[in-house]
Amino acid sequence: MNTEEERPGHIEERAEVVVIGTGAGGAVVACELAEAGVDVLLLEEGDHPNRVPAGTPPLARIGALYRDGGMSGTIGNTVITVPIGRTVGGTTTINSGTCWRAPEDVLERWEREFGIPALARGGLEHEYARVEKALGVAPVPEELLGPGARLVRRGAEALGLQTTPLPRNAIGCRGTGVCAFGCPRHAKQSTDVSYVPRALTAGARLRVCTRVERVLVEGGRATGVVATRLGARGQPIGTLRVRASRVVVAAGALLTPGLLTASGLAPRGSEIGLHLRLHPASRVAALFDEPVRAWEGVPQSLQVRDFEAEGIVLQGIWVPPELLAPTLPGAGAEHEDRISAVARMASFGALISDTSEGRIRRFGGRSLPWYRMNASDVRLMRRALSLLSRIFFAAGAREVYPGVRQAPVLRSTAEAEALEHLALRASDFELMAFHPMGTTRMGGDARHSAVDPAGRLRGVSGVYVADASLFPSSSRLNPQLTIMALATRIARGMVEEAPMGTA
Amino acid sequence: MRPDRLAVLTLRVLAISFAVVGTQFLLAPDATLASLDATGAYFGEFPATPATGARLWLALSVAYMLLVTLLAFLAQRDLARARPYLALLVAGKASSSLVALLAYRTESPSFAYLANFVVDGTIALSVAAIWLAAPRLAAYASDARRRGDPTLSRVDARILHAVLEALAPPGSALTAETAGPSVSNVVEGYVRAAGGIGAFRWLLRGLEISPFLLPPLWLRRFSKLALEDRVRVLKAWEDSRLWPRRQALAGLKLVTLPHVYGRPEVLHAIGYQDPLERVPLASVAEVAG
Repeated sequence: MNTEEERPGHIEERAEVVVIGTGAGGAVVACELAEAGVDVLLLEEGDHPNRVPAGTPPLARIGALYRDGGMSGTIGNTVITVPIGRTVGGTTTINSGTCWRAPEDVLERWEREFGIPALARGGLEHEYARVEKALGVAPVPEELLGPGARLVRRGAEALGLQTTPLPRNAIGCRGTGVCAFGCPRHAKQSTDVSYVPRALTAGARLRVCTRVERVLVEGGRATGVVATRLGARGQPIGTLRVRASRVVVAAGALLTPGLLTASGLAPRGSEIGLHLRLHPASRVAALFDEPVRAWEGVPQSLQVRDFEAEGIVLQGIWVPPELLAPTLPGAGAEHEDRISAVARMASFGALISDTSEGRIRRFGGRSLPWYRMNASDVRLMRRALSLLSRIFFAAGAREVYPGVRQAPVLRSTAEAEALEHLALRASDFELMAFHPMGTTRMGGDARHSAVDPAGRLRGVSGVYVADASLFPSSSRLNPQLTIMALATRIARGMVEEAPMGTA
Repeated sequence: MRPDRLAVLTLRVLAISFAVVGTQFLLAPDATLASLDATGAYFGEFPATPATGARLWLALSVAYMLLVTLLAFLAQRDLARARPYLALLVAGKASSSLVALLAYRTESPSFAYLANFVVDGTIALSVAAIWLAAPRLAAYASDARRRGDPTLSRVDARILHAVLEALAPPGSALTAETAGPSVSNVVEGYVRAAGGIGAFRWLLRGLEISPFLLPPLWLRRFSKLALEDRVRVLKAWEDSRLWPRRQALAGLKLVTLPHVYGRPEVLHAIGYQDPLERVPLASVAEVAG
C-alpha cells in the first residue's frame, strides 16, 4: 500500500510559511517558526537518510544522499567538484560536522562594507550560542583525534606550528569515521536528527521527494510554490501546489539563484546568481613507513591555525580507500601498489578563502555554476599544498601526493618547498569545494545585494532567503554555524513581523 | 533488441532502401528494370517487363520514392508522433503492391510486377504492424528512458573492460574479477544513475581512438593494445598538458576505481577494516536511548 506521499497525482496544501530545503538554513527557520506557533510546511527534494540501511557501503550512500551522485561541480578555467546533500538534513547530513563561528574580522567587514547590522562584537552571540547549544558543539576529544591527525600534529609541532581540535556537533561520537556518508549512530547533530525532528514535534509538516519548481507571486506578493513530486527512482509522479503567504528559499547557494530565476524573481541586472565563492579545497595524501590506519577516529578532527590570516585553512580529511584510489596518481600496477599501502597512509585537507568570484548561469533549465579561479587564489592554493606537504615530511612521511600535475609525487622537504614556486594554473590542481556561498547576498544597499539584512528578497514581498547564498563574502571558515545563526535571526524577524496567514 | 528500437531501425532501413532504389530509377531506369528481369531469371521463366516510352511515369515514380523515403524518415524520428506518416506509408506501399498484382495478372506475368507485389506488400504489412503498435512502442521507449535501461553497447562494454583492466590490473589485491562484467555493470549503473551515460560513452570512444591521434601513438585501438601499452596510454592522459584530457582521465578514474576498490574482498586484501566492523553499531535500544 502506498503512503499518501507516494501516491501519484496532484496535491494541494496550505501553510502560513513554506520552507524549501531542510539543510542548515531551512531546518532552523522551520524549527524556530514552528516553535513560535507558526504553521510551517517543509519541502525537501531528497528522501530520509534513514531509508539507506546503516551497513550500506559509502559509494551507494553517496548515490542515495548526494545530488548528482556526488558529481555536482563548477566549470570555468578548471573543474571543481562540489558535493552537496540531497536528503533530509541537506549537506549537514553528509558534511564533517565542523562548527566554527565566522572570524570576528569577517563579521566586522560584513557589517562595515555590506551594511548588515549587529554581527560583530557579540552582535550575533545570542544566535550562535543558541545553535551551539542545540547541536552540542564541542571540541573533538583527544581520544577521537585519529592517527592521521596525530601525525599531522607531530609534523606541525616539529615546524613550530599550532594545531587545535575542531569544534564539532557530535554528541556521543565514537569515531566511526564515516561522517561524510551520514552518521550511522546519529551522533552528528545534522539537522535531520536535530532541528527537523524538533520542528515536526512543534507541529511543522515535512514533505520529502518534492522538488520545488517555482515560487508563485501575485501582485508582487508570494502566494506559495509549485513542486514536482518524485517517485522512488526520482521520476515525476505528480505535482504539489502549496498556498502560503511566505516562502523561505533555503536550497543552497548553487540552487537558490536558479529557483528564483525560474520564478521570475531575478530581473536583469539583479545581484541574484553573482558572487559565487567556494572555498576551493584540495587533499594531500602521504605515505609513511609505519602503520597509520588513518580511518580510525574522526576524519576531520584537527586544524592548523597559523595561516588563517592568509586565507589558508588546513583541516583533517580522510576518505575510505575506494574514494581515495581515484585521487592517487598513476595507473596499473604502480597505482595498485600505492593504494595497497593504504594502511600506511594519512591525508589532510587544505582550503583557501577565495577572492575569485563565480556565478550561477541557467542552461537548459538547469543551474550551471561557472567559476574561474584567479591567479591570487592559484598562488594561495599552491602555498597551502606546499605547507601541508612540508608538515607531512616533518612528521616522517616517505612520499607525499599533493594532487598537482607537475609534481604528483614528492619525496623530500626540498621538493615540497619547491612546489610553492612552480608555475601552476588552476587546472593543475585536483580541486573540490564544500562551501558554496554568496549567490544571493545579503546587505543594506539595494544596489549591491539581493536580500536585505532581515533575509527578505528585494523586489517582492513574502520571499525570504536563508542559506549560505546570503554570505556577502567568504566566511573563511566552515559556514554551517553561521548559516544557522543567520537563519535563527531571520526566523525571529519573521515572527516579529506582521501576522502570517495562508495566501 | 528492444521492440521500440527494432521499429526505429526498420524504418531507418526502409528510408535508406527507398532512397537507394529511387536514385537507381532516376539515374538508370532501363538498367534497373533489366537487372530485375535478370534476377527473375534465377527463379524461373518470366517475360521481360513491358517498357513504356513516356518519361512522365519515371518522373512520377521517382517523386513517389522520394515521398516514401521522407515518410519513413519522419516516422522513425518519434514513434509517439509517427502514426500519420505510417498511415500514408502503408497506403502508398499497399496501393503499389496491389497495382503491381493487377498488372501481373492482366498485363504481363513479368518478374518485376511480382517482386513489387511481394516486396511492397510485405513492407505495407510491416509498417501497418508498426502503426498498430506505435503508441505502445512509444510508451515503452519513454518508460525505458525513465528507467534508464543499460545503454552501453557491446563495443562500449569492451572498451570499459579494457580500461578497468589497465587501471586496476590483476595483482596482489586485485583479481581478474575486478575487471570483469560484474564490475563493468556496476560502473554502468552508477554512471547511468548520475545521468552521465552519454558523456561516458563519448569518453570511452574517445579513449578508444586516441592511440591513432595522440601520443603515445599506435596504429591500433586502445582496447586492442597490450596491457602495458594501455597503461602507458592512460598515464599519458593523466600527465597531459591539455587539462580537458587530464580531467577526462580523472573522471574515468573517479567513476571506475571506487567500484573496484569498494569490493569487500579488495578492501580486506589491502588491510582496510570496515568502520562498522571496528566500532560495531550499538543495539537498537542503545541508539534509541
